[in-house]
Amino acid sequence: MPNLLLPSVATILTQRDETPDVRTYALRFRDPDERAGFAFTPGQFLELSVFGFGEAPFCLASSPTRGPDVEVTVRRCGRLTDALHTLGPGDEVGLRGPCGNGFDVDAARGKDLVFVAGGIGLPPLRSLIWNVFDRRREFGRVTILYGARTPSDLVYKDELRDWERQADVTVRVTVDRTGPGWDGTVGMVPVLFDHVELNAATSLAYVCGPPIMIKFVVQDLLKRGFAAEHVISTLERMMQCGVGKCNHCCVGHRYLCRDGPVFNVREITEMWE
Amino acid sequence: MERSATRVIARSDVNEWLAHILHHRDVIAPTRSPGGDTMFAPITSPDDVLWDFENPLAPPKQFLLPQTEPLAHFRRIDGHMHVEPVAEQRERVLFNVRSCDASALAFLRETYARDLADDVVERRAASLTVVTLACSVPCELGFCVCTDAGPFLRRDFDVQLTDLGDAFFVEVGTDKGRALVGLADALFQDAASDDQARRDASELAARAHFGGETCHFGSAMRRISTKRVADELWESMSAWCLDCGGCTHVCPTCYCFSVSDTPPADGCSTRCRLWDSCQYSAFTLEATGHNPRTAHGERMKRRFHHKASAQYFQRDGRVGCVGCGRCVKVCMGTTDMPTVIAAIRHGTWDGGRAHA
Amino acid sequence: MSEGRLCERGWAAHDAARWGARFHEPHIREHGVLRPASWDEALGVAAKSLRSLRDRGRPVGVLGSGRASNEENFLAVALARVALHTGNVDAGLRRCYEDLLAALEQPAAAADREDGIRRLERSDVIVLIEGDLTTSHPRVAMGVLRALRRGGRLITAGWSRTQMSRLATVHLPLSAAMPVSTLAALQQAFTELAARGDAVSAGGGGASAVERAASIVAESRRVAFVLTPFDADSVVLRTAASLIAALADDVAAAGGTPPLVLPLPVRANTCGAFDMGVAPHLLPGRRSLEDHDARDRLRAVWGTEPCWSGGLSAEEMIDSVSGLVVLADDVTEFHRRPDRAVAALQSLDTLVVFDSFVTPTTKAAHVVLPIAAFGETAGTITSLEGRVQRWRSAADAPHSIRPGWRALRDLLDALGATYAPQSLDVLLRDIWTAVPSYGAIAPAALDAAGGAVLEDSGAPRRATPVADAMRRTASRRVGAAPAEAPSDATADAMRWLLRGEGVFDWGDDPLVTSSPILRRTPASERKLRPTGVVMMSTDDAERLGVRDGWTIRVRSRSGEAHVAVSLRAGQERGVLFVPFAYRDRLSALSGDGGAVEVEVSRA
Repeated sequence: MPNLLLPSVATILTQRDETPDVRTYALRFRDPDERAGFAFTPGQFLELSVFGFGEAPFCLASSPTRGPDVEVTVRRCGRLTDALHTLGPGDEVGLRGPCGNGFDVDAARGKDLVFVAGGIGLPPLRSLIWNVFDRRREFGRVTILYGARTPSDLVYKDELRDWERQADVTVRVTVDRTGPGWDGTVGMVPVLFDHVELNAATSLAYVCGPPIMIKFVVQDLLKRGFAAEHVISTLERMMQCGVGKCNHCCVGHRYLCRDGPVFNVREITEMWE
Repeated sequence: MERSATRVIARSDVNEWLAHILHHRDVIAPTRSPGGDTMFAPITSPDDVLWDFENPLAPPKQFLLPQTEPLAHFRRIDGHMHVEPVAEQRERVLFNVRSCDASALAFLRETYARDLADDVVERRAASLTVVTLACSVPCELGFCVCTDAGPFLRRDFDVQLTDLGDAFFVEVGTDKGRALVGLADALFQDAASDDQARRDASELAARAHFGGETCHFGSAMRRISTKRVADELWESMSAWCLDCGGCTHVCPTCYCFSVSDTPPADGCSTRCRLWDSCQYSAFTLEATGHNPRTAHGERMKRRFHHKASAQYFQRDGRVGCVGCGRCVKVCMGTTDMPTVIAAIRHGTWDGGRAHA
Repeated sequence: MSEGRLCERGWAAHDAARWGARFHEPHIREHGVLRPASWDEALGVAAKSLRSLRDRGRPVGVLGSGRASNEENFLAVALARVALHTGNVDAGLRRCYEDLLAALEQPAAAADREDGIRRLERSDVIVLIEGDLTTSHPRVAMGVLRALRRGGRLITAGWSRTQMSRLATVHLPLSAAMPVSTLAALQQAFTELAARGDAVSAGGGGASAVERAASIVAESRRVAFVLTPFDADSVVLRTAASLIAALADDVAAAGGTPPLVLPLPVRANTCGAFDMGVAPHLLPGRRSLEDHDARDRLRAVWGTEPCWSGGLSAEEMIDSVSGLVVLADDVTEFHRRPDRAVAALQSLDTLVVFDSFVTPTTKAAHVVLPIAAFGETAGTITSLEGRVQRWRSAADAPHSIRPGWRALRDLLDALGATYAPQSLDVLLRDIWTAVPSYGAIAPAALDAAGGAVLEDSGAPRRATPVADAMRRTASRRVGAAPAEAPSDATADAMRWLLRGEGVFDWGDDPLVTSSPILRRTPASERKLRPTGVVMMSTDDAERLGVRDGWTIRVRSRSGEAHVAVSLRAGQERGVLFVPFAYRDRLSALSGDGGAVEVEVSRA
């Protein structure tokens, strides 16, 4: 890397509106060599620059098994994401990464996998989910539990149906508040546990979403017999450099951008400031 | 034959050496500002260099990590973005740096080289030659003996000078230092054993200045690292901190930063790295509005955990404090390093009254 | 800036020059839009429009600023009194400082400006009337901490439990409906105590907070009173200051050392602007308009017979002049009704603005004259304790931006004024001649790192106000009283009081909002919530079922608004406090009044 903090230019290939304020972008490195050389694991993130507005971390939402172009799913919630949402196909942004540790995919081989996501927490899990589907025979049963505030806040609506059609997969979706056209489950994500059979002994659970949702889901999983090491989550903090230098994302002496963002619940419990 | 690493230069010859250095390199040294303060600034004449001075309030870290550092220019040309790294390659000499500051520069250099190396900082460090002036008379507020960063150095310098009165004892620590001495080699003699003895006596005298007192960093560090500092203690100490961030600004080892782009004009913008402070509550404020570290005491705890915990000591191989005493001078409240360390050690807080 | 040094905020403030939105060349309005122009053209247009208004007898005025240097403010006064021949010269937020000052310019507090902070640091007891001193005046808060560290005690009075109040021996909560009644009670308690002569018994077991505070004051030798603009209401500030003045007199009369009374201005150079004559009723040196010595000196410096009359205050000017010159300030940052102020600016015949940054005021201007920002220009400023200090230029201003003093001088020139000093040195010498207290400072002292402290400010003294009358005013209710907090779940129907907080301006400064680091500091963080916040007590929030950051609906007789709440422990229940920065967000509810009754519900 010529410069640890220097972004590379990438072009927006496509954009897709997931919800009124969430959009998925497909991005391609402009330099063919960089595109070819880019490798990552699910759970890692990118520092995405909107030139003139700074950069911010976004998890990679696409699977490394799906070619060298990458996808990020972005919710509008600040100056940079406002600026990003004004861009479209053909426009250029900056990319730097991949950053962070990512999920240990090999450790999941042979296991049943439970994915629990809330709201905008689905994108990092989506990367892993596609990765699993593309290597389907290496893994056991897959259960996907997903919840959002309202039906219109659900992301990847079409893909949820795709996933359901895969072999040996259970997908359950809930919303906190019902809305027009919704005849599915209503309630917070943990209510979905009553709709599925989980085998704690053979499973790994991946939990991603808002802090409060993670807290309740983790409690539930532990109560259902999951070992803390087998419940895996991602942590979020304000980040700037993404390479373990700037100190914004520290929890104690751990740097979420280098040691994380993926941790198992035992590690999280042992973390302190 | 390999030249000895210890030399001597007559006081009357120092300016000539400096003139040679100035001929080849940019020189930054403590000098008198227009307002009468002492500060590190580029000098143009050997006479600008101060030899008897109070260590400047602003440490020389800005020459390794500028307060606002352009990293890259973004230019839109023919509809395409061009990312142009900012190239800065100047051979610079930091002259008459104090021991604490030289240790701090080494701390920063190691920090940026560890794990993922920051090549920009590495290059700047490589082009920086550090000439220290050992502290024969330690400064009033310093406590470098407690943090193993002075008053004399055994490492972290390219050249270490010791004032022997009529001459300076010259220790060459690195090849960069050797090259600097080599610019005017004829001015230096090999040190005699008598010179060495005078230098060692000076160091002993300097250490004696501190007396038997140290601030017992080790015991405070053990308490911090084993979570034995009560949250209430941080909480009550934080009432005596005015949140100004002054300590982090003048701290020679503080290096928190943010990255920001200048407002775009005509499709152009500059990405900069800026000093930040973990003492500002918005340091951890996320775009969603969530802030995991809002309590004032939490922020203080964070600062001292980073400066003085075994976890960081293990990672860094050094204490994150060099005992320069600047935070004592700059603190608007009473929560400077020695006062807080004492409070942690005793487990009680008296508002800094013992130090009043 | 204090004692010639900058604090951390100042160390990062210079960055604003790089990051802030700025005009890099003069602009003039043409067909409704601002377009770049040369200095000659822009100065010509400004001079022509202002001259034409002046010649037609239309009212014009000049706004100086507590953010500008003494030199710039002195030229702003010359611009008004010499070139435009008007007494309409003032600065935003000067008023709240003068409200505090008005009651205090009296013998007991005479020499207070001198070395105020050092005396504060040596006090045995400090009575602090504050909004939140640590954010509004950190340098003074530092003085308080030093006094406490030396063993001094602190008594705080304010709207909520602040960092300072946590360190206080006694905290006196102020009532939103009757803000100064607590101070009146304190003064009364002290008077009674002094009459009885037994301080000790009053401090005993069953004593109220006010009685305990009075007895601490009575038993202390060195007493200090620190007054912040804790309220935006002029009457409240004046009454509070009068009560403190009366209390200070009582303390002095009881035989102690005359206490220190330290009123605090809102901006860095409000004191200096005041000294330079930026006030419609005073001449430079805080002299009265009739002062013959002052007139003689100014005649000599300005080389003409200037306008000696009084004029309009800042807010009056904005409402009623036809032509306005604004120096380094933005009306939305000090006007009681920022929305109306901008509308008023837009209807002016001529608006000439000297500023470093793009603000709502520059956007409304007919002529924008870009001036150097902090760090790019030299000059002097005067601290709240009367310390005159140099600030130095650390970098050149980019493009064709001119130093403020020079741009003002050029406008004086373009207006054909008799006074247009040719250099900063000449200008400084003129100030030294025009303002005797400054003239008494040796130039070498000014050059010393800490700057030099003014001797007696020479301000006109006023008689001690009558404490009794003040006490009567103190019991005046501001707006309606909040209903008693109900014990059960009828919170929705409960009557609340909506009330403005004190004046806190720092977070609005472009030096802060433009600096990428400073704009995130705690003191300016509140300003980051664009939709505004009101402060609510944690108890009320629990009863209402809202959390920090949630939105509530507030309805008054004159309107309704949705606004987020920021929770604060130790604040009076049944009251919503509106931070100064958000006064416009809720102005539709309060009309022009200070405090109004409202209904509150979850949105």
